[in-house]
Formats: sequence, structure tokens, C-alpha cells
Amino acid sequence: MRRSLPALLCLLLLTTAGCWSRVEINDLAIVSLIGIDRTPAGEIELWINVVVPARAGGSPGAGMPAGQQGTPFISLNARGKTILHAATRLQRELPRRLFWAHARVILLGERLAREGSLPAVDFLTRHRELRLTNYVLVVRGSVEDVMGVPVDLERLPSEYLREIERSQIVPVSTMRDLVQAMASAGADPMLAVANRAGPPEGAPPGQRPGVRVSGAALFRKDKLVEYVGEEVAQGLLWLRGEMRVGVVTVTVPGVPGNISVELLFSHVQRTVRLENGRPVIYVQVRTEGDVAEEQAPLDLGDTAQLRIVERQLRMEIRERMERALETMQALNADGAGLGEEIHRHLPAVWKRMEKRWQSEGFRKVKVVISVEAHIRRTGLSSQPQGIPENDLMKGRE
Amino acid sequence: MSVRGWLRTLARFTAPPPEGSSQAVQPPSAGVLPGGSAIVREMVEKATTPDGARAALDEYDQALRALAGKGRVRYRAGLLEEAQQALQRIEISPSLGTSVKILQELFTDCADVIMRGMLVGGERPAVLIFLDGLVAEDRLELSILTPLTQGPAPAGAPIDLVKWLEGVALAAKETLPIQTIGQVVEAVLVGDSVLLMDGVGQGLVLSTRFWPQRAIEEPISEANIRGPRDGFIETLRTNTMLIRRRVKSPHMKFEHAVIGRRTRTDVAIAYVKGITSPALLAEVRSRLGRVDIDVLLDSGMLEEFIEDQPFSPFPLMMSTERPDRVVAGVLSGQVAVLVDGSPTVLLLPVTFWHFMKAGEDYYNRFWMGTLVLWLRFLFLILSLLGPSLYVAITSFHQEMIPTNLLLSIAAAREGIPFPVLIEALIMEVFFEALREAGIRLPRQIGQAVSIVGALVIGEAAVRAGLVSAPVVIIVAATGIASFTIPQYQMGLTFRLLRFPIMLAAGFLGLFGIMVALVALLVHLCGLRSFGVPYLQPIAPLDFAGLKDTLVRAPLWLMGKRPGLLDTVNSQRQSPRLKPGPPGGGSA
Amino acid sequence: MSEREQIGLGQLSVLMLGFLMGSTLLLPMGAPAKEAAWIATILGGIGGLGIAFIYTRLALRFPGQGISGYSRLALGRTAGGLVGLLYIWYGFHLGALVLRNFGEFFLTALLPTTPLSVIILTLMLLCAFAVRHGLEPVARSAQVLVPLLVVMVAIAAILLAKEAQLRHLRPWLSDRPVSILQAALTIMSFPFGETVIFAMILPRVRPARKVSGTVMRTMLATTALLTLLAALGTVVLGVQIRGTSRFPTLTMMRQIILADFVTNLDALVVGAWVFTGYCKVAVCLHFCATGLAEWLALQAHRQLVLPIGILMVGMSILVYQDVSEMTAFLNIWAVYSVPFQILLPLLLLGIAHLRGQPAAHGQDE
Repeated sequence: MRRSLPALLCLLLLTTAGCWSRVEINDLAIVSLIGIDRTPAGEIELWINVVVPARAGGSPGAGMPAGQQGTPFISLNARGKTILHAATRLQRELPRRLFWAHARVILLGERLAREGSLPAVDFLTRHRELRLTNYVLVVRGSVEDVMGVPVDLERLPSEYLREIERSQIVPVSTMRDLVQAMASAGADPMLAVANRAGPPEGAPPGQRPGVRVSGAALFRKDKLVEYVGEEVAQGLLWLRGEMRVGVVTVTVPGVPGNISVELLFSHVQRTVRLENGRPVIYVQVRTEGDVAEEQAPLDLGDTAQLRIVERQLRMEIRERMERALETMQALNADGAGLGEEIHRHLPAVWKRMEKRWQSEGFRKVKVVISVEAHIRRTGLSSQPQGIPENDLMKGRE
Repeated sequence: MSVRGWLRTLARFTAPPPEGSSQAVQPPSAGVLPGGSAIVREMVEKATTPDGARAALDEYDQALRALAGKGRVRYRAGLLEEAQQALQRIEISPSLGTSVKILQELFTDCADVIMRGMLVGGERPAVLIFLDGLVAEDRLELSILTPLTQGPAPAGAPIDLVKWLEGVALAAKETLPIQTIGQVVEAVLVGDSVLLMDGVGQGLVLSTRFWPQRAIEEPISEANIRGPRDGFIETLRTNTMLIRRRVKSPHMKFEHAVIGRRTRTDVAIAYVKGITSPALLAEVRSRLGRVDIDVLLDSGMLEEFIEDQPFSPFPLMMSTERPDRVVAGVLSGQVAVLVDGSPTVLLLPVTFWHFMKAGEDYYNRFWMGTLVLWLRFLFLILSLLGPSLYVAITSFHQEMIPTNLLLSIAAAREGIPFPVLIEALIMEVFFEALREAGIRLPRQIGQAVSIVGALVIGEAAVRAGLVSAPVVIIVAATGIASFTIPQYQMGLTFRLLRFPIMLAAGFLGLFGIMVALVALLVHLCGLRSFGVPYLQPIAPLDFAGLKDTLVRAPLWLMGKRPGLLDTVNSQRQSPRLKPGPPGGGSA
Repeated sequence: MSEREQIGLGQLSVLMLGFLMGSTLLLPMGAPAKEAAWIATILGGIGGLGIAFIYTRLALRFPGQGISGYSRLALGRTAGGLVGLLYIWYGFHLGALVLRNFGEFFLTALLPTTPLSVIILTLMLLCAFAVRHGLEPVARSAQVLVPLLVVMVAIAAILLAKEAQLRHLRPWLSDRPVSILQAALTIMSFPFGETVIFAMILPRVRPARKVSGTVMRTMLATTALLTLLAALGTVVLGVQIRGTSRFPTLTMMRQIILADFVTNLDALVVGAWVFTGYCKVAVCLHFCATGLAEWLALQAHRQLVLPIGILMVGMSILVYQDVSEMTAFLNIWAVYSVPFQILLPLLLLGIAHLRGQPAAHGQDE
């Protein structure tokens, strides 16, 4: 009996005091997407998408009561001094407690990003329901444009954005990356960009607008500096060492037609060496890929011709990286974290140049890019089908 | 049947003894004396009870009244034994009438006792006492009554009469001369017949035991596909036979004991000499020795009196209906306790892991055995934690659910009036009721109940919005999981433990579950079954034991007996038994 | 001591591993060393070996004696008794702090709106329940839990490998190599030096003469594990996030993404840390109960467990006002522990050595 005393005490305690942290699922307003922007007046504007479970959950059509059709989410917005201030205002309109844990995508409005996104970051990293793994995107234009867009294929716009981010064909940036880059003296953030894609011109009426993720936004510390296009974004990924997969299309001089190479493996090595008392950053890219499409009359069964394509690939990648570097240096936004690289390899040197890095160090730093690219396979064909044998390029004598 | 007969007989002992019962006609309150034959009646009328016997009978009577809580004497341990000693002091009188009169008094109102009077060889009075229904009637008539009543009269002095009976007159299988009334009573109550003859100060026990018994059938609670199909039945002797038939060695011992003041139930301690640890055996004997109870009907009752930890929800000894399992157990150093009247045999000591094994595991291929074992562990955890995890996650840690699943659950829960905890509790209780109803009802109705319960009510409850479909799924899965535990008792334990853990989950979420689990683990770690740590060989760790705990290793690898039983002889088999192709394999 | 109060070497090992992992899984470890937190952990572990060397010497010198037993033998009744009492206080204080740490942790990670006292009380009741069962059941439960914990950490490490960015480990020696030493000293006292309270358990280990080796090996294994965790934390979170997180390992576990759709498993992982909290608090509680029983020359310590436990709960609730005090106290703790972990054991050992004890007293159990 003595043994059961603690258990008894426990039970007594529990039954008399109740259960504190319990919230039923029905009492949660599940936030699926968070958008943060700034009003012209300087207030924080919070946008959220709250899921309506009756419309979003369950198998469609199975015993769904009539009248429950409609968009599976509702978009709400409020303004406030801080995000939580705005959220509290929103909470007054909702019968259920806001639940942030399922908001996997966070959108930063363009105005906020340009004026400084620091105010948005703290809440998003402090709240226990929000995670560092959440994706962060910049919306080109107003956050509202993307928040309310109904999407096909996925139930919610947030799912849509998350799936695209996860596929890794666009720059992936999580809260963690953003915070790390913002805090570092030798790196600046780079985020993916989402925008509303209107129906293409001349599209049949009724086609809905969609959401598109393309390019990248370069920041200087917490402020958005400029948007860059997809090719620069890709070059940036290479510079950052984050390039994994992708497609690079090249042409061979003197040969008509394009060749697309699908990259299956990329490895980027960044080292820093001290040359003449100045740090020089070496970025070495090693990549492998398959030829996935060839419109040029090249016989890839011929090793020499394959080498030509490889060389073009190498040059193309290098060119993209250099363009990205030039863009970055022109904008003075170190999206590749090159300063951090100096810090890691030459901490003593970095200590000297840390203060001047933002103002001029980054602009002047010397970066040596070298690319090694291999084409391993050419798919099912060794040469383009449908081209008469005689029209093919011959191996060079 | 036979047990109830004895009970009735013994219950009658507490009734007040007939005063001056020398008349043939008794007052109605005095009860009915057995033995209606003319010879007996005539003898008894002439007889008187000697003073010594009278005193002993009174003592006996007092003791029995004390057991019933009445009378002047207060009950104390050993009183019944003393009373039986009193009966043992009454010697069988050479005067047949006296002995029969005493016996009649003891067996008052025992309608099933028959005292058959006869004249052996046409001249010497004798009485045959037996219990109707507990003896083989044809054997009785053919080999005892016929030669005695129709054979020749004994020649020679009275002193040789017993020898004459054993050697010449009777064709019974087994005979045993006895001296006291107490022995007569004992012999009659177990189904033997006792022959008393005038002028002989002895009785003769003739083995005539026979009673109807159930045929040996496949055990209900431990069915299997491969392996022997016989199961224990209610008769101790048959059960020992089933074991003996498998172990043809004089080292297979069955020690006898009697437990139960009134039921006098036979208990056998089975072990293999030279394997079982003597210390363990001594402990079993001493624990059985201190059991002083009135009634012992099943080994389950005995279990409660000899456990190490009476308050634990976990079974501390294995009960099985399978002889092969018992044999495997005793040969690995366990002790089996068989109780007459119970088809369930206790095997001890056990560890937690014993309950995860079905007998069949060792007959199937070891890959399969291991896979099934892991499956059981998995489902064991599910059966313990299924509903609790659901409650904890859906009402405390919603972030753990993948978004799409959360939306589905949320949609299913729209409009459900109860909190998840209550919802799950309702379904669990309902499920337990369904299961209980299914067991107690006749098989055909039981199936109907489960169909009605599961399909109709479950479906209707979901449609009516009383409970959500995910809860029904979880509870059903948990139910199935709990049926995969091969030992019924352990399944019961886990079903029971599910509820406190669910409450803990409902109050403190995952934290509550973890605290409850650690508390459970501490309890398990403190448990011992006859001194053997319950979680051995995991805690305390014993690497050699793991190959029969976490996996089912091939039999040829398990050369040693389990170390935890401290066996006298640890080598089970030759160490190099791995088979192989001819020539290539080892010997 | 009954059979239930004796444990084997393996059991000592897992118990100590669980104890060492205890609050180290929660609190920031080696944050001042930045990128070199893992180096600091290794150095701290080596320092811990030194501390362990001292107190295992003591245990070997006075077999069968607990802390107040041998301090009385070495220093005499009054001074020795005082030292014994100080140690009991140290164990009590430690237990209370650990309880508070875990309370705050579970409050933050799992049960945001539950009163702190409920969490702490529940945890304490669990530990009291276990310690009342005896040391052996506690050690056996550790035998089950600690391997599970190690497996879990291993799985977490594998799952996190995808998130790891090795570049965060550079520069190897951080910006200020001195900070590594500072961090190492803190790590030496927390958690490694805290094992000094195993002084009440070591005399209960059989075979006694192998205790020293087991303690050393356990320390090394834990150092390896903690080094891995420190390195993992750095490569997954980066110095900045790891350094500013209240509970870095929790923050790290929150990064786990399994099979692309099961995310946020941290609640499960974190829930399992009840195991480590249990190990550590149970050892502290056992230390206080047996230590007090020895000090008062009582036969049994079981009756002391619950009262001490309740006092510990009270102490743990009163000891800090907020979570900032809690993290800040870590640095004070390192200094506060020095006499208990190093000075007093050294003193005892030195005096015993000079006096040639315990042979002079010839006193046995």
C-alpha cells in the first residue's frame, strides 16, 4: 500500500488541478501560411492563411455536407506594432486559438524586405511553434498577391510553395539560413522570390492566375537590394556551394542547336589562400551530368565531340558563376558568404579586414573560379535521332 | 462432479453429530446415515462406540466447527491437521459393527457413500465402503464383489485373513492394508474402496479409482499450427502422464503435496533432478508449504499465494496448457506446479520475455521465429501506447502530425462533442466490454455480438458524430495488437495498463506518457519471480541470454541452458551441432 | 545493505552515462568556445577524468564507506561530519537545480501552459518512487533506458547529417583560443565533476576493485558522445544560433526532418529526455537519502527519500526567479563546485595518505 502512495498523490494532484496545456484540435486555428509586410505608415502588417478543416480535410466528396465547398482556407490580415500585436488583433476575430506549428512557409513582403526585415525575424525564431526549418520567400509586390491565390494540384498555397522549395530547383532558404547570414559579418542573405503569375496573354478566359517561384532576392544584411534572374541565381547557388541538381543548356560554337545537360552531382570546394598579403578565394566546382537532350548534330558517341560539349558546359557554368559574382559585387551584397569563408580559413586576416568588408572589402576581393565538368552518360541515344548520318559532325582530324 | 461430491461430504462434517444414534430410525434433523443393507444395520444396532474413539471424534468435530467459526475452540493454523491426527488415532476395531458405526457417523448425509455389507464365503461379515460414481463399477463387481460373495470361505486363523484376501480372494490391481479410521476416510474420498472384515483389526484399501474425465484436447488459449496438439486436462494423473511420456528419465520428478483444508487438492511439483537449482526447489517447497487455505480449485488461486510481488499487475509465473511447453520449461531449469482439477500448469520462475514466446516459435524456422518475435514486441508497444500516443499527440503536440493528416483528423473531429481523451476512453471501454461479451457468450452468439458491436455501433457512432473515425481506427488497431501477445495473461496486463497511461497522456501529454513508462520500467526492474529478476537478461544484462530474448537463435546455437535459472547442469546439448552438407559440415 | 542496494560494473556504467547525459542534453555546453565547443568538451572530459581519479582513489582507500564515512575517518568526527553535511547539501542543491532545469525545459518544449510545480513534482515523484525501490532497480532501469537513449541520439545524428554544414566548424580554434579553455573548465565541473556524488554509490558496486577503471571508461565514452553532440550542434545550427539558444540540443532536434513529411519529431525525442532527467535526479536523491542516513547512522534510507524529495521540489522552485538566472548560474556553479569536486576530495585523500589510513583505524563496515 505504501508503494501506491506516490501514485495516489499524483492522481489527486491531476484530478484536482486539471490539465493545462491541452488544446483540442477543434479549438485550433491552423495557420498554414504567414505573410509579413510593412504598411506605408511603418506598421507591421500580418497576413495569415487559416485552414478550414471541414473544407480541407478528409477525402473530397465522401460524405461532405453540402455548403462546405469553397476555398479550404481563409486569408486574414491585421496591423500592429509587432507581429504578435497584429496576431493578437487577429485572434479577436477568431473563435479558435492561432496555431503556428504548421506554417511551413513564411513570406516577406517587398516593402518590409526593402526597409529591413529584422523586425520579422525575432518572432519567427522565438515562438516555440515556429521552426528554423521553415522556408522564407520574398514576395515581389504585395504579400496579398500570393496569399489568396487558389492553387491547383495542392490544397493550399503554402503546400504549393513548400513543394516547390523542396524540389530544390530554386534557391532554398530556411529561417536558419536567413538568421545565420543576417548575423554573420561576412555573409548576406539570399532568398527565393515568389510572385503572382497572371494568366499568360491570350490564354483562354477562365484560366486562373498562379504562383511562381523564380530567381532570387539579394540582401545586404536585412535589407533587400535587388532581384536577380534565374541564371544568376543558379550561379549564386554554385558560389554558395549549394548547387545539387539542375539543367544547363549549352551551345557549341559553329554548331547549330542546343544541348541540355542534366547535372546529377555537384560538389563545390571553397578555400582561401593568402597571396601577397591578400586573401584570394578559390571556388572549385566539380560536377557530373548526363546529356538529356541534344538538338545539335554532334555524335556524342565520339569521345572528342563529347569533350567539346564538356568544355562548353564548363565554360557555361563558369560564366554563370562569374556573372553572379559580378552582380553581387556590383550590388555589394555578399549572398555567397565569401567573407565568412575568409573568417573560417584565415581568422587572423579576417580580424583585420572585418570592419571594411561591408564597405569595400567585398567589392575588391579576388575570387578564382575553376570548374571541372564531366558528362558521364548520354541517355538512350549516342547521337540525335532522325539526322542522316552524313549531316552529323565528324570527329576532328 | 467428484470435487463437488467431496465438498458436500466434508461440509456435512460440521453439522452437529447425531446424539445416541443407535436407533435405526433417526429424527429428521440428525441426518441420514449411509449403509442401508440389512447386514450393516444389524451389526450397527449391536455396536457401541468405545470411549477413546468417542473423544477423538469429538475433537475432530470441534476442529471442524472452529473452521466454520463456531464452537468453543478458536481456529489456529494446523488445527485441521491435528483433527485428522485424531481420526488417525482411532484404530479399526476387530468388531466390525464398531468401526462401521464410527464411519457412519463421519459420513452422515453423504448420499454418495455406499457401505455394502456381505458375508464372505457365506459366513464372515464384511463391509465394502466406497463412493458411488468415483469407482469403476465393473471392476468393483467383477474383481471384488464376485470373488468375495461367491468364492470359498477363508480357511485358517483370523490373523492370516488379510494375507488371504490379498493373495487368494481378491483380483484388485492394488491393495494396501490400513489400520485406522482416518486412513479409511482418506482412501474412500479419493475413490478407492475399503474392505473391513469382522474379526480383523485392519482394513484393506483396494484401488478402484475411476471417474469420468474430459478427453485430451487441443489447448484453447494456446493453439498452434505446428507442434503437438495435446493439452492438459483436469486430472492430475493424466497431466503427469503427459509430461512423463515426453521425458523418459527417472530424473523427471513429481513431488506430491496436498493443499486446501477442505478440498484436499493434490498438487505435484515437477522438476528434473540434476538440472533444476536445489535452492529454487527449496524455495518452491517452502512457499507451497505455507499456503494454508480452505479451497484450492485452480492453479490460478495457488498463484496468488506464492507470488513474490502480490500487488504487481504482471504475471509472475507462466500458466500454460501445453505439455510440450512444460517439458521445455523443466528441462531448462524451471519448476512446474500441477494442481489437480486444473488444466493449467504453473511454470516458474519466469521473466518478462518468456511471455513473448509462443511454443511454436521453436518448431518453425528461426528466421520466422525472430521476425514474429519482433512483430510481437512492436505490437506490444502499440497495444500499450496506441491510444495514449493518439491522445497525447492530438491534444498536446499537434505539431507532430504531418499537415495533411492533421487536416484529415481535424475534419473528422469537427462537431465531436468530447475531448479526445474522453472519446478514446469511451471507445476503449466499449471495446473491452465487447471483448468480454464475446468470451462469455456461446460461440455463435459471441460472433454476432462482435459483428454488431464492431460494425454497426462503430459505424453508427462515427456517422452520428459521437466519436471520430481516427479514434475507432486506433482502438481497433490496439485491440488487434493486444491479441498478438501470445500469453493471455500478459495480454490482460497490458490491456489494464493502457488505461492509467491514457490518463497520464490526457493530463501531461508525452511527458506524462514518458513518466508513466519510466515508472512502469522501474516497477518491472524491481520485480522478481522466485528471486529471478523479471527483466533479465536485459536488465541485469547478460549477453549470452540475448540470443533467446531479442532474437530466436537457431537451436543448434543455443547450447547452454538459460543462465538466469542457475541450473546445476548448464550444458544442454553438444556444442557443435550446426548441420551441413555431407562431408562439408561439422560432425 | 541488502541485495537491492548492490549493483554491478555495467550498471554503474549506464547509470553514470545517464547521469552525465542528464542536463547536458538541455543546457548550452561550451558556448563561449564557439566553433571549438567540441574541443572544449574533449578537454573538459579529460579534466573530468582527473576529478574521477581523485574520488575513486578515495572510494578504494575506504571500501564500503560513503562520503561522510570517510570524511569522518580522515578528519575526525566534527570536521568530518561537517564535510559530510556539506556534501549532502551539494547533492541536494544539485538535485534541485537539475529538477529546475528539466522543469523549465519541459515547460518550454512540451507543456507551455502547465505550472512549473506540477512538472517538477511529477518528475520528483517518479524519482522518489524509483529510489524507494532501491538502487538496483534504478540501475536496471538505466540499463534499459540508456542504451535506448544512445540509440536515439545516434538516430538523431543520422537524420541531422543532411542538415549539417561542416564549414561551421571553422576556424578550428575559434577566434579566441583562450575561450576554449574557459569553456573546458566549465564543462569539467558540469557535468563531469558532478559525478563526485557517485561517492555514495561506488561502495555499493561489486566487484569493488574494478570501479576505477569502469568510471574512467564511462567518462571517456560520455566525452565521446558529448563531443559528437557539441560538434553536431555546431554544424547543424551554426555558432550564432547555437550560442543564443536557451536549449541548443532542443533547437538542434527541431531541425530533424524525417522522410520529408514527418517533421517536428522533437516532441517525441524530447519526451524521451524524461529518461535522462530521471537518471540524474534519482542519483542525486539517492545520494542525499543514503548520505543523510549514513550521517545520522540510520539503518535504512527509504524513509528519507520522500521528505528529501519534497524539500528538493521546494528548493528547485525557489532557487531561480527566471530562466535567465538559470543559465547565468552555470558559470557560478563551476566555481561553487570547485571545493566539492576537487579541493575537499584532494584534502581527504591527502590526509588519509599522510595518516596511512584506513589501516591505522582498522575500522571496517
